[in-house]
Amino acid sequence: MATNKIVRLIAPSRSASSRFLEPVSRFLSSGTLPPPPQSPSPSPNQDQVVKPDQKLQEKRKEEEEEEEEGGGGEFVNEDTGEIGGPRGPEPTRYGDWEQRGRCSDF
Amino acid sequence: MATHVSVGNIHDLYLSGQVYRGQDSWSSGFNFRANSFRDLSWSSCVSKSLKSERCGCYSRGVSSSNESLKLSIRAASSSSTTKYYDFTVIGSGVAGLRYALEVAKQGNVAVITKDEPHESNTNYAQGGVSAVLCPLDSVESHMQDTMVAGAHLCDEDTVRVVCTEGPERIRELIAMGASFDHGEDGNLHLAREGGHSHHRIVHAADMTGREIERALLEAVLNDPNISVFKHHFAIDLLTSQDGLNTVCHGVDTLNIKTNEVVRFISKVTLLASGGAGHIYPSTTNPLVATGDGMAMAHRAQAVISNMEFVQFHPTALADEGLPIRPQTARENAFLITEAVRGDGGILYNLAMERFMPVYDERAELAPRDVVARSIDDQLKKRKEKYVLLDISHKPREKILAHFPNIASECLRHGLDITRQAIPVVPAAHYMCGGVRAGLQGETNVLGLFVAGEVACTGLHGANRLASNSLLEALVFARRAVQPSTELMKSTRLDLSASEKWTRPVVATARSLGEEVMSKILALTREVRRELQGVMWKYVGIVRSTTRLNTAERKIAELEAKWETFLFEHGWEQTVVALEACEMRNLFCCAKLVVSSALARHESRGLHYTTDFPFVEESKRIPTIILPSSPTTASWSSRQLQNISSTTSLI
Repeated sequence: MATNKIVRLIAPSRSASSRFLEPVSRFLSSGTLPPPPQSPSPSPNQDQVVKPDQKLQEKRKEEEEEEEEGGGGEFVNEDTGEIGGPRGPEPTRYGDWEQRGRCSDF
Repeated sequence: MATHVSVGNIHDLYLSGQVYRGQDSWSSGFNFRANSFRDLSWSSCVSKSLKSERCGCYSRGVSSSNESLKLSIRAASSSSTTKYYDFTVIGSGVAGLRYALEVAKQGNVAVITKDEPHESNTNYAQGGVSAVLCPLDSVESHMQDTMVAGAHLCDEDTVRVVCTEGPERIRELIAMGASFDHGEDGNLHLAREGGHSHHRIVHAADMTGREIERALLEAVLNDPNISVFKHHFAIDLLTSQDGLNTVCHGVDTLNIKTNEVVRFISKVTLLASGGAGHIYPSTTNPLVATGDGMAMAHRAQAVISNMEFVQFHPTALADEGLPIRPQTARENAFLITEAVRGDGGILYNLAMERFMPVYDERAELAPRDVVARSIDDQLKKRKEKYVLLDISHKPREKILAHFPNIASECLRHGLDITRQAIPVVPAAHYMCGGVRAGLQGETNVLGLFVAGEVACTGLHGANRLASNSLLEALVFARRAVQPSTELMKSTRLDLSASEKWTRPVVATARSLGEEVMSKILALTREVRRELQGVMWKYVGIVRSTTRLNTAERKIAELEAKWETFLFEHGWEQTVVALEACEMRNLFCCAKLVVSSALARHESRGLHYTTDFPFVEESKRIPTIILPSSPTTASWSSRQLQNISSTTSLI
């Protein structure tokens, strides 16, 4: 089975095809939680962005961080650079999606 | 049973006179000829009927162009037991909620859910959502992976649409506040699951479904145009006949908390009620997954498709094999990851024979479907309840480091996996089939749309690719919005329509007697277990015509026994109670699975039968179940409500 290297997306560029990367990276790269930007989709139905309750989200993130063992912020995977991801071996290394032995998707 | 089952062309049923009795390997590899063969084109078959009635029959009540702009009816109700909405959504998983949020911009929406809103298969879908989000990836690649996984039974147009529109749907979710894992550079972290050629799985740690559900639910609860009716169990759709067409006008529900029937009249109905895992005894699905939507749709004359393709996971923790049995029945199965086998776990039957090498030279490392069939075969041959997965020969520290969840769960029940083998049994996980949908989620019932697991869109074909189910739900929920909106705008609600159908009556201790109610409840629970037992024994992973026929017979007998008991003790056609209604839905779905399985004279994807153990190119077409004839219908096959007025509803 091919090694499960995690691929990083290329940095956002101005090209149309990767336009969608921009709001994601703006949303996720800062430490705090900025409000989600408008999606740049040209779809005519998309004239409304539903904003989540930011306080709720921040509270939830805090709770998650408190649960982390070893304290101090989210877990960063050294091999892949993934933030907030699962600890331990890659969940998909044998094809299914597993966490600590329990499979949740396949 | 359904009176008409066909695999595409009816003549095909009689063509394949050859019976294969091969003992060969059950590898899932096969060869295909280049020409595609498809009697039924998904989108044209259903869409044509939809188009034809836009021309005339279907605008219920003529509406002039002046009126047609925004005919949203405020949620006025003539009584608290009838409610009027522009849109009714049945189910509060990802499909239902995503649709609700969109159509709420056009009119008012009722979301009906039988338990707490978050209680759905979506919430337990923890892996991820697949989409082409990496520049090195391509829609073609995702399509190819999907079609290969689906054993080439997928509808190509559907696959193209889903793979193309997936990325946009993910972006919208993020804009709605769903939080997915990312890298330090801020880009989405994409994982790669089995069957995928590229990294394309978007996920939120290990609780993607829950995260999506959370984000959508929050938006729904904040939307003033959406009313969520939790603990409202959908009983039957309200339909009428308009010439040759069946039209859906809404749905009757049972408010479980108040024991009251609540009727929803709406211009458009979306069925997003999820799966039917509980037709089997061991399933990953939560208790709400009793196939309500598939059953209601079948009773409402909707076409059902591909029900034979039930996805099982080969190794769920078998409670029967644990030294300390769990005190309450486990609600959803604990799946043991393939990683256990990948790390050297060995499968044994209860006689401690290592059986996998007999079935496949790759032994425990054979593909999952091969392992599932092998385990199933062992269990049926030996008449046993579980097999053993042994990793205890590996170093203790490694086992505990890699599989702490399994270790702790087993230890809670007296089993030390570093010393003893783990009891495992296959569990039902996902229904690839369901209510046949066109490319916009439309069905052959006017005003009825479907999305999510309840639907058969043609995406999954004979087997679902990992992480494609949340994607399918998102895409189809979105696609159903435009036709729904158009229909809603050209429809005028008849506020007097609510009494056109007889009303269901709630069974109570007062109406039937305390003792009778408790007997009926006890029998219903026992009958559910019996049905699950029949399904597992005769309609499991390895099937045969004999076993399927036996299943058909036993299910019919069981259903007759149950219905007779009910009706002899004062139950009537329109009487409802939660357990009884779920039971009739389980019967309905079980029969749909058996009928479909009997109709497919080949083995493909998830459907394997020893009488036709090979793939047949000429059979590479969907299984279609048309509505049953009313004369042969049992209580589970007929809608409860009759039309009490003789006038048509136009």
